[in-house]
Amino acid sequence: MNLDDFVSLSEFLVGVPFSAPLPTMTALDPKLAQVYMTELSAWSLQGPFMEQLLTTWNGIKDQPVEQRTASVNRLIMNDENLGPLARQIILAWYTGFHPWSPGQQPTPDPANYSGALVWMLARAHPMAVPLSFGYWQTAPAGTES
Amino acid sequence: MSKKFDCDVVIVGAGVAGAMMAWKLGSQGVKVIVLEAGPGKQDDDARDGYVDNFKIAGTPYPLRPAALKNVDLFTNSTNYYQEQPPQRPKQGPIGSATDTNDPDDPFGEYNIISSDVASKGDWFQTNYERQAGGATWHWLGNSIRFLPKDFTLRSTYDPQPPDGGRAYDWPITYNDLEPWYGAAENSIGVSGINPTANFGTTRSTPYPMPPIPQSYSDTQMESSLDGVTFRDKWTNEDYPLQVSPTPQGRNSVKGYNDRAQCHGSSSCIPICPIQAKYDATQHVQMAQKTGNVEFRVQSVAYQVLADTSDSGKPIAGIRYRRWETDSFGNIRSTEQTVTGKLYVLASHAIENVKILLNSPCGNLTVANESDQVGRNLADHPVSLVYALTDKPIYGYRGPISTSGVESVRDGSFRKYRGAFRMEIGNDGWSWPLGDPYTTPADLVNGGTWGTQLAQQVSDTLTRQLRIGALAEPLPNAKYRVQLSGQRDALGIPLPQLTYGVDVYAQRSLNAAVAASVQIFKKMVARPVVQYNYMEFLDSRGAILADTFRNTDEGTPNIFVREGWAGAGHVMGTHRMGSDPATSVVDGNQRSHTNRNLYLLGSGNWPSYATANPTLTIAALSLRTAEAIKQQLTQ
Repeated sequence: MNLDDFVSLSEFLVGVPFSAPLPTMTALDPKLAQVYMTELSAWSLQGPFMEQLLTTWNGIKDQPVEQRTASVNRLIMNDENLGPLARQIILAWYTGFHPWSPGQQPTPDPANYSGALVWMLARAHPMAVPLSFGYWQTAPAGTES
Repeated sequence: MSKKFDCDVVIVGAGVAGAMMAWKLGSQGVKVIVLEAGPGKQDDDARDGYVDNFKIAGTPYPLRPAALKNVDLFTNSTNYYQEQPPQRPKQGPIGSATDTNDPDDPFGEYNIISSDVASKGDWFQTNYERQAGGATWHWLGNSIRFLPKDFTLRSTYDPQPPDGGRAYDWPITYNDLEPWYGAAENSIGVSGINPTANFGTTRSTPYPMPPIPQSYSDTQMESSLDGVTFRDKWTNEDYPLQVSPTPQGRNSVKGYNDRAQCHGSSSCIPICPIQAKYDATQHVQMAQKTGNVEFRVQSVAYQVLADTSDSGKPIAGIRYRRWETDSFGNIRSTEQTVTGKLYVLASHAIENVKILLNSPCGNLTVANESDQVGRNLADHPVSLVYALTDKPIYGYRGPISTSGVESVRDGSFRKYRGAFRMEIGNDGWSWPLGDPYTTPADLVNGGTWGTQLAQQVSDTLTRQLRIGALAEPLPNAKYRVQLSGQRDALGIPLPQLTYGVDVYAQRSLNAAVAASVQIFKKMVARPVVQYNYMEFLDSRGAILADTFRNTDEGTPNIFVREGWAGAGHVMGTHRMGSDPATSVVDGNQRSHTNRNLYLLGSGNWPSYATANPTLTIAALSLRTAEAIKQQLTQ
């Protein structure tokens, strides 16, 4: 399985690059991508479909963006096997949660926690990460308020 | 000290009440032994362990099999307030070299204690903690004084709702407690200013630190409410809806009590990672430094030794089980007894009762000639109303709450319904819905992905705001703590709870919902309210059929969460009063019957008001420490 394919698929699924009015983000973290690809390959809700997912993506990733979007919807998001895995990938990036293991609660790893996209998109910061006294009085830097 | 006793004063419980008293007495040369049921772990490793482990949606406590087991018991519960047996291995005394706690150990060092209860789904939704420092590890930090009329609810308003709830006056007044409020604010380290709507809470001392700054969303709400009033349905009187800074037990100044300045980690609950927020481990350590206080951890007090033939004789000792866990996970415990001249139960409103009801005395149980031990169990039920404001307000930043609405905490309506206090959250929809995780999950599962997903997640999370309003209940004897027929792993009877949200508090919740919705309607141009709440009640407590209908059309942007939440405020189970026939302790928190026995904590409260309890618990402890010192010197 190709990590570059996993990164490019992830970026397309989660909406990266982010640009204004969102906070700027140009690429996903490849180290975190390795973690998610490995773990979601080892186990996912629907079964071991990572290779099939990346092969499918490899066949459509170079299409023009509108065609690519339609292809992702048709061949991945609406596929009964690949769709759930794609949604798991998206949620891993957004929340930092590890894959759901059978019988366990979703558990974010401390190492992934601070990289979860929700913090950036909320214009906030990971909980339990100290910043500075009083910053909360004003709107976040870079926002129009 | 006479060799007749092991110490001058035995204290059960190293939470804020017990730890602060131990420090106060120890610093005056009084020899103290503190029995703590849980482990004594209190250093930075423990804090880091909590920080690493709490990051689980909707689960603000470390994930561990023991806790999950308790949740299962909660779900499948019969009628028992389930305690987790102590399971921590290799636990040494506080701060000792043998303390080898491993934060990654899957077995818990404290116990989530959930409950069930009663009928109609009136679950007791509050828990507490067995560990040195107690529940202050995870308190919000709000340090709010009671109002003068909170001490005289009966003589001022005398509410008489149809379910039998009745108010009782305290045997002390606001003025009696006022100096001790100041002392408690200094001991905790409170940052604050007196709000405009302070209802006569005069002060003899200033706050030790300037207020914590209000959040951006606080000021946005404040500006939208300029001049807005709330009309009470019971009296047709208007009350201003004013946002004001909340006094908080967290440092606005670096170094106060050797603690850090708040850095806005946004995780006050479950844990402040840098201890800018006060917790009672501070006073555990201060007590240890006096050289006069011995902490005995993993020591579960279960019985007060009293004369079974004469209920008026002094208490002679406290029995406890000292436990440890072997390498196979088996719990071993040994029987112990400790003696002192005076005894203090500071293990909170449920554990105190459990010990007392398990202690024969004459024909009754200790301190229970009034039959009030265990009765009047209460919490502050919380209404949660949350909104998607028109403009971004940028939550998930700063202390979880920095402002509140104090102006609705007192008024003539208290003859009919409870007061409420509104806490404005800086934590988005974390409390009501488990965000920031729930929104992306809902969107993704609904088919949204890509750029559209990022835009919608950002747009939603930056506009989430919530109000939690603490409702005032009345004492009601039918809600109570009793001993169950089941025993814990140490062979100690488990407590059994009967609980419900009383009519006075239900009316308060209804008013709080109405006021919260009114506030949010000022922050959205086209409000659409989605009610998921309980019914309004009429003046006799009957349900009004036409309330809380979703009459507005469109996509909802103001939401009322179903039911109520627990506040973590266990109150009322061994109340104080002037009359021994109707109360357990006097105004000094001293047993009417057993005069060398004191009870601490909010279990002593004869009415519950709307303030978060910790500051008042601390003030009363410091005041009682003075009384104990005087009794020892007599």
